[in-house]
Amino acid sequence: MNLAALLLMLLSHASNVAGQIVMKTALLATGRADRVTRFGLAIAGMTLSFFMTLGLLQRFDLSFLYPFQASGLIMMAIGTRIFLGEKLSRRNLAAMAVIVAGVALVSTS
Amino acid sequence: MNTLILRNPSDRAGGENRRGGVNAVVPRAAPNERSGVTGPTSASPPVGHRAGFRHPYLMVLLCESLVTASEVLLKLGARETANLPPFFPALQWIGASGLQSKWVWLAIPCMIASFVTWLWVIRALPLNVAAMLASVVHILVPLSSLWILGEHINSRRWCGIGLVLLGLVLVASPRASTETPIVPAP
Repeated sequence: MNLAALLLMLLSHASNVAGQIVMKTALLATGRADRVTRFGLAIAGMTLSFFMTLGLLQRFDLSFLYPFQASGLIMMAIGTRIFLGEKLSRRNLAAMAVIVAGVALVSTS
Repeated sequence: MNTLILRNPSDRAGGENRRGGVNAVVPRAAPNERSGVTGPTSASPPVGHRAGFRHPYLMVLLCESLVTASEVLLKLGARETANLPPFFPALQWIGASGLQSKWVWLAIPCMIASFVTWLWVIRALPLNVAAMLASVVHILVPLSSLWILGEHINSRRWCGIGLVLLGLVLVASPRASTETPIVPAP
């Protein structure tokens, strides 16, 4: 696995996470136009993520790619912390470290 | 894959039961039991039924099986189309050529069905419990890769998968809250 593939993988999950966060802000939005725009952006992010995942699956094993999905959870936790003000506990941080270690191990397999 | 935010304990959908701990695993039977719920989640969807195949645990299993099926089908489609010329040569990293495979089109309804099932699950179970149970997908997918797709999984990859699973269970366990409690402690 090369650096470009790793970046692509992270970008794929990042665009999914961005889509999910925008989706959540769309649900919280009050104006109709604002909500529709955000909803469209969210769908676009998730669609992009779908096609990037498909592209990656054309090149890598599923058992190799799937654990990386957990990295999306970490991005989600960081993203919701920054954009939605949700809290992170120490235990969450410890769990994230374990996930990162696991993903790192998979990426070298 | 598309249901990630809902699996994240930071979502507010399951916030009301965050303090439920192990006892909260048992799904509540009747909507009127929720009458004591206060705060922003009081307009939460109704609680699911416990009986028969609609038991929330079975629904979690169904949901994660659908996720696994969609991933396996996507991989089959990707494998079938891996050597086809890309739709957009400038954007080779976009796997749009995968759309030429029937497997990919079969995967999409599975994804949608898994999403709908997941919504049903989080109505019936506290989100942290649901998220923890949903981690089973990280076992189902490698096993399916091994048995259905015939992939070789070496010991290092198994260890990595195990660590990811451990981390996910830690994230989803009831004590690991990523948001401030919505309902005050009794």
